[in-house]
Amino acid sequence: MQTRRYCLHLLLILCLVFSPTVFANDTQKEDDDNNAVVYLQAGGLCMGGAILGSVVPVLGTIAGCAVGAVAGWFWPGGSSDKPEPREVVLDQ
Amino acid sequence: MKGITRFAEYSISGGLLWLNVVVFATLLSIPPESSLGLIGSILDVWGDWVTVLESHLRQSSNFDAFKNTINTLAASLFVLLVFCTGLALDLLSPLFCSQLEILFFRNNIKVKEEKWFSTLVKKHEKYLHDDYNSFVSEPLIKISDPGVWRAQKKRFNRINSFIMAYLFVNSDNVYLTQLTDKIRIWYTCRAITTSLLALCVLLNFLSVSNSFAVANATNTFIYTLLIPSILVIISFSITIGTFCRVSNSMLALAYHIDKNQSS
Repeated sequence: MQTRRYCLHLLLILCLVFSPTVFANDTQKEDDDNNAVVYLQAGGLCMGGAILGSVVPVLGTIAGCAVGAVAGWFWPGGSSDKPEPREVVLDQ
Repeated sequence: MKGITRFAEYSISGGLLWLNVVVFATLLSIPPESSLGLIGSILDVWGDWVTVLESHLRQSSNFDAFKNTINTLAASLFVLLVFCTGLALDLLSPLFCSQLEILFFRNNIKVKEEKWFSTLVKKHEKYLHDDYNSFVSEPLIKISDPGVWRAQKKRFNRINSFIMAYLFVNSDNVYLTQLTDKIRIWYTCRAITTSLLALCVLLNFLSVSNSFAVANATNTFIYTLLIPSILVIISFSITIGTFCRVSNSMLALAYHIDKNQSS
């Protein structure tokens, strides 16, 4: 019973992690690549936070997941300030 | 000899982490539109800071005289860094691996209803008190009370240390050597698991902070979600697989010792 409950929690966390990806695919179809990147960033950091928070089971995982998702959401990224690729001439 | 083995184990786990970090940091830093080829792109990524460092060092008038010393010092510092990383991973590994191990151990005992084990525990109640019964009967996690998890973890540690001590005291040298080897492999696998999880978190942060990786949604998906998910699955499999082997062989050995002592 305890294992089932634990699996359910794990499933919920995985849903939380991967739900931004689903939204991201939708937005990508609408040619809004920047939004997709933001969703994916939030999903990625949500996963990173969940791993770090797994030190304390369930509560820590959920808290880490939430903090990571918020950090990923507000992380400055996307296509606004992409640097130009550098051209380096190697000496022959 | 044991010191050398330990050095090798720490070097494996620490080295694996640093190797993975260097590989992924290079992959993430290569611009998508690069026309330099693979080797050229890698030189482009890592060449900058080497050039800067060398130019700083060349300002010193005695650079040529100290060149070999600096090389040796850098190499020894790198070896020390790898060793210390391995040691840190080994120390941190119980934090990340114990959840699955406790879950597996508890289910293993509960499902199989090991009566001989509860009898063995009852014989040694002076040390274990009520730890075993509470460990099996009480829930592992209560959302309303995080203290339950800490208490269960302590109980598991006491039971685990009891089994180990029982085996070390009562088993023959031949079995003991095999068991020690298995336990060492278990610890190394735990450190490797932690290194994979650390890589997973680093990859998340590296890919998010790297502007080339977030250039498009596909790259971001691969580096922030797909590769970390695969790493998490691999690390969970390693943890459960190695603990399953160690736990089963420890319980089997304890059963035979108990049986021999009873008859």
